[in-house]
Amino acid sequence: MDLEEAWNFVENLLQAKESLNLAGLKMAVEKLVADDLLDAVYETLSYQIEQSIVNSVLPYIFQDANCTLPILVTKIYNQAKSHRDAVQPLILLLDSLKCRHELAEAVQRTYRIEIEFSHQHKITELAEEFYSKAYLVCSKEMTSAEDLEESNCCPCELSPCQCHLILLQMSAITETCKQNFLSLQELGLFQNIIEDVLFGIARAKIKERVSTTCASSYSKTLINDLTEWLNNDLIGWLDKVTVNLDGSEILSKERLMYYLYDSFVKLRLDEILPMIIDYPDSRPSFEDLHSVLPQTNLRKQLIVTIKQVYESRILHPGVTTTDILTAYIQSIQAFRVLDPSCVILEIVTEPVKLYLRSREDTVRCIVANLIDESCEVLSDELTKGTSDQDTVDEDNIGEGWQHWLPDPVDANPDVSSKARRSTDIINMLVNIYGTKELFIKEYWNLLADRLLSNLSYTTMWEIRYFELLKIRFGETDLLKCEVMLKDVTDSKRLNTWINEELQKTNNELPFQMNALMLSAQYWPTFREEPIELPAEMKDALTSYTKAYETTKVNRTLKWQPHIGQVEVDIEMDSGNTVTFKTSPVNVAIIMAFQEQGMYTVEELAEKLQTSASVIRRRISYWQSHGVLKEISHDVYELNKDSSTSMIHEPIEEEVLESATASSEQQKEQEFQVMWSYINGMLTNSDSLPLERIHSMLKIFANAECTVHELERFLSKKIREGKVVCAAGVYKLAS
Amino acid sequence: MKVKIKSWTAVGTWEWVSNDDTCGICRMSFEACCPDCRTPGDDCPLVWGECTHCFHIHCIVKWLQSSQQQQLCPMCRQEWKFKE
Ligand SMILES: [Zn+2]
Ligand SMILES: [Zn+2]
Ligand SMILES: [Zn+2]
Repeated sequence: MDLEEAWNFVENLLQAKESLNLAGLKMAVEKLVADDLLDAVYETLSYQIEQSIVNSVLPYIFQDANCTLPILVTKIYNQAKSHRDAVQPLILLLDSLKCRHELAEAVQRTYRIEIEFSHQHKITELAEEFYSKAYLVCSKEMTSAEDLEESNCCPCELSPCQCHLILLQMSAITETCKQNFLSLQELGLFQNIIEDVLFGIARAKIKERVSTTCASSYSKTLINDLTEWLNNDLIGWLDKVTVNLDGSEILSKERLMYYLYDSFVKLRLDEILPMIIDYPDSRPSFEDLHSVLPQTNLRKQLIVTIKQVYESRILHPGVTTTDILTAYIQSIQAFRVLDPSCVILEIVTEPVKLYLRSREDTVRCIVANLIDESCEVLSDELTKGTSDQDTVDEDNIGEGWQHWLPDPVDANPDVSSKARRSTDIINMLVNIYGTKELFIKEYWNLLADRLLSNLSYTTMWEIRYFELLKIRFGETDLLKCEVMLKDVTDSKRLNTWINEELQKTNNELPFQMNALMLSAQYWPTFREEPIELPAEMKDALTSYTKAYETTKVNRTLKWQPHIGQVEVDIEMDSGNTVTFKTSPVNVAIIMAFQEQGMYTVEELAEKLQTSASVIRRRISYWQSHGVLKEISHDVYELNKDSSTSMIHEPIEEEVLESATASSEQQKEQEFQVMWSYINGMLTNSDSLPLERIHSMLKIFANAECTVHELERFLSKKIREGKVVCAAGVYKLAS
Repeated sequence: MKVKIKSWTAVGTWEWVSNDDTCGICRMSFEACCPDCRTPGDDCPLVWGECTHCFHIHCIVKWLQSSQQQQLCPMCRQEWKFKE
């Protein structure tokens, strides 16, 4: 055998072109060794092996357009196997000649690299198609053991149904793996391509599952359902499709679980605003987030997202302060559930606080919400009356050191963890403005407005909230408010005395007169609006002052003639009479028209000793009610044909503050407060007689109602089905 | 057109009739209360001396109790006598 013959012999062998001739091989190799050409031959051979795999073997396998994954895998296996078989004798021979070589590795490596780099796309495509169908078939199989071919809605969605075929092919792959000495992993098939495909499908399924289970559904915790699904259904599928493949451990449960949590948190991040707005109904979903967030890497993103949502959806001029406050309060509650250390809360609400601080009406809104029963959260918090720090320590002791957790690294080191965890909602609101003094000042202003705009002396409502605020902020800071409330109740009593005094001295006034006699030092400065009242009214003030001076020696009254409310009947020239409840300034204006039917604004201002701007602002009231009309610029006269605006109900002035409620509404509100007390009593005591309810209301609710009124109210509740009455005792309806 | 007033709720502030604004002892306004009181007016009234000076009653009583010898008006140093 000459050199060329020997060379060709080996070459053909390596290309698996000829059947094995061991004797010939041995002669050929010995010849090459004798000529000291083995190394060169080995190198050339390696190169040729590579070329044949790259240029003919694999392209031939992959050119089949209708190939499926199982067929492809089988073909690759068979081809690789015959390659290895062909090389094997040469390997043994080289081994026996003690030549260094890596022929086996070269074959394997070439297949792996070639599959991975040149044919990955095709394999991925086939694997996706195959395993997606397999997922459907398996999940169908897991849910019902019935024959797949008979099912109406076939999961493989192919016509004719191929579910059965897919199952067969899956076991074929498994068989192929078992039979071959090359593993999928060695070929780079599993590790790098199919694993990606399987993980991709698993991820898509997880995402889909999370979205269908959880989207827009906040009112129950869902994370257990999800993990159960993952453990049973998804892992079940993976076990099936990867059975006996070397990669069955590669898609670890932990990795899938992580992706599940990740998908869940990301979905919730997209929905964070509706969740906040839904609170407390959405509380379970915040509990879910609380348990899952530490197992993801999304804490930072959560913070960023929430801040962005606030900025784009809440913190802009189109949103009312009350709405921002509501969102803020709900955020506080929700994020406490999400992160009991309150660090997230502190970070994300910082911009909200800054923004609220920049709005002028924030404190006013807080106070108004606080003393408004319809804002349940705040009223509840206030009623809880947790003052500054009393309950905090107990809580911490109860928790015990075993459960202590350090604050997260993004916590503000200037704030103690205890302080952060213990601040209640009202404190947080008060702290928007930095100091409680500012807050109290605003409450003081608001209380003054409310007392002056609602002149019915009904202070029960205000006193209730005042007492609650006192528990929270302490007496000293609220002293002014206390005096104001006392002024109102004292005035009520004093009015009776003064009216008796007027009667006694035969100085009875031509109309019912009451006064609020205030301690000026304790009230905010009154707004100014100069006015000269009509003689009739001035006389009344003089008589009233005299009677006051008799009752309170060494004291006198200084009137704020523009504040207060007058009820007047206006008899139009058309014969209609309309009743108005309005400010004394308005009354002064309209009474001037009794003397003279037409005025310019300037004339009127001079007559009433006030400014033209006051007249212009006030006169529109009579214009809008059709009593006066503007006949030319700044000239007004009585509206002769006022029949168009004939109104029989008394007209109450729209006061600047929305706090003016009619006395009817006021009474209703008081009863609503009482109802919460009654409800509580009947819950605790099961059943109570009428008198007992009445006396308890007097003590606890400071209620100013008669037994008769209470009985009427309770019979209304019986009609509403809230209460039942039997044998003289009242019970809550079950 | 005729306007008839049916009722009126007026608003005013009360004040002491005196020739001074603040109490010479505590320096608080007469319409406020002395430092020992919480609410003004009936609960912390003024008293006049024969010398025509006036003080919160609690302030002058405390002053008189604290001064060892004679009972003098802290403003004019005349003997303090409550005005009838
Ligand atoms: Zn004094
Ligand atoms: Zn006093
Ligand atoms: Zn004196």
